[in-house]
Formats: sequence, structure tokens, C-alpha cells
Amino acid sequence: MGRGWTRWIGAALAVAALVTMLAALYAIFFVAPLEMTMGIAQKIFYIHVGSAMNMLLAFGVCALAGATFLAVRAPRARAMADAIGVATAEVGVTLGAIVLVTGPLWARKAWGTWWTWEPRLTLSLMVFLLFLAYLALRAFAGSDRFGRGVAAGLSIMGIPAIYFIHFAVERWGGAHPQVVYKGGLTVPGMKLAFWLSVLAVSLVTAALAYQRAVIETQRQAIDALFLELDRREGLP
Amino acid sequence: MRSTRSRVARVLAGLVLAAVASAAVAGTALAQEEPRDKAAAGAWDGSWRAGVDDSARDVVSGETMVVVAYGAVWAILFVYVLRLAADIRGLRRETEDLKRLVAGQGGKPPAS
Repeated sequence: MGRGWTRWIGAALAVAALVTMLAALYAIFFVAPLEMTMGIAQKIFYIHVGSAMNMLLAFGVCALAGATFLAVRAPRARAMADAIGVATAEVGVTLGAIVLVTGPLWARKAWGTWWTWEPRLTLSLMVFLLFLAYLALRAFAGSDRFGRGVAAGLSIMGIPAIYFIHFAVERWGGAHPQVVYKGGLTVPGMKLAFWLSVLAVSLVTAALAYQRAVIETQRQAIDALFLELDRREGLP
Repeated sequence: MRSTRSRVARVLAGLVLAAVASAAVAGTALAQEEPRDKAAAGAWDGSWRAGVDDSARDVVSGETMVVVAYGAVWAILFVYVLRLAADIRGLRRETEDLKRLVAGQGGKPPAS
């Protein structure tokens, strides 16, 4: 794909993300009614859940990219899987930071406590730290193939936790509210705000991950050129 | 020269990430309040209300929580976008270094 297309896609995703995010904020604060029990604090829920869903999606894609990195032998496919892996891990950790900041703020008002060691919260923190470790490992490994392979293996370890976070409320209960797609949200204005928020955060995720993957691909190309220059100069 | 510089940068990046991880764990621990009741201290005992303290719900202002939450969302995204911009600037610098190195070898600089 040419550089022109790359820029065009990146810009289109960024504009779509910004416009949808503004629409979502309008729906959250001016369309969705105030929830009777929690009042205005319930509005944290929209961005919190949207971020959590996309965090899991980003970590899932990172794990798949890690599996691809380990499974395929073709250098270009490996490089692409590696770029997608690091991009989705970074964006997932960014969304994880949002989830871990907005969650306790919501919980303080909803449950009267900042944190409780219920299954979904504990697993979310663990997965966040797991992918933070993935990024730290990647940062240390640099272009070393073994280090990247270990990081890819680490990302695959996140898959069971991602599954359990998704089904934690259904399987083990916990203080989290009822699952949205099983009737947890019934008011039309709230539904609109919720799904617009999910769409907005999805587009933000896509825009950031795409841009990060492009940067990583260019970095790989530059590193390869430097290595080639070193080889020609006879440097070790 | 470049490989030493990039290795130092990688080690620094790893240390920063490790510090962030430690801060996240410490922040979570600090967020726990001194338990009023040891039984409701937050340890999950299998009931869906474990750790929930209804008496503390109305102590905090909902408006403050919303402002802090949405402010944090924008701040986190802004910091990440700034980081991406710094990465792009770094790539441009490396491309210029590469061009100079190629020119020094008498070769044709790569198209940017």
C-alpha cells in the first residue's frame, strides 16, 4: 500500500473517530436520561464499558497476532503480525488505563468503594498488567527475534483471561451489573448513548492502532536499512 | 553509535513501563480505603455484594466523579497521541541519519 493511501486511511479513521466521539458525548449528556439511583455518575458507565469492550478486543487481536508471529515463517507476515501485536497491545493498555481510572470512580458512587476483589475487576487488572509486561518485554527485546517470540507467547497467555473476563459476571456473579445484551439496558436514550459510545471508542481504537502499526512498520524498515548499512561497513 | 543509543532508549522505555506497572499496582492498593468492617474489606467471598458499602455511596458528588472520569479519558488519549507524534518525529530523525550515512558511503540516498 502506498504512503498516500496510508495517510488517507489514517486521516479518515481519525476524523471518523473524532466526529463519532463528539456525537457520543452529545448522546451521553443530552439524550440519555438521568438514571434514578446513581444520578449523573451513571454517565461514566458509557465510556467505561465501551473502553472495556475495546480493550478486550485489542488484547484479543494482539494474542492472535502473537500466535501468527509464532506460527508463520514468511518474514513479511511475521513482521506484519509483530507490528499489529505491538500496536494493539499499546492501544489495549491505553484503554485499560481508561477502564481502571473510570471504573473505580463509578464504583465509588455505585458500590460505595473504590475497588473490590470480585472476579471481573481482578481479572481485568491482571490482563492489563500482563499486556504491560508484554510491552516492557518488547521494549527490552528491540529487534531481537527470540525476545519478540517470548513476548508473542506472553500475549497468547492472555486469551483465557480475556474469555473469563467476558463471562465472569455470568459464571461467578460479582458486583458488576447485568450483561447489557441480556437486558441490562432498556431505556432507548440510554441504548443510543451506549452503542454510540461503543462505536466511538471502537473508531478511536482503530485509528490509534492503525497509526501505531504504520509507525512500527516504518521503524522495522529503517532498522533493516541500518542493519544492511552496518553489514556493508563490516560492522558486527 | 546508533545501536548503543537505541539500546539505551529501549532500556529507558522498559524502565518507564516497569515504573508505570508498579504505579498501577500501588495506585490500586492506595485506592483501597481503610476497611470499616473487616468482613466487608473487599475480599470476594462468592457473594455478588462482597465489598459493596451502600452507606458510603452518597458521600461523594456524582458531578465530581463524572468530570474527573471524562477529564481522565481525554488526558490519557491526549498523552498517547502525543507519544505517537513523538514516535513519528523520531522516525523522521532516523530517516535523516540514514540518508546522511548512505551519502557518506557514496551511495544514493533512499527516497523519503
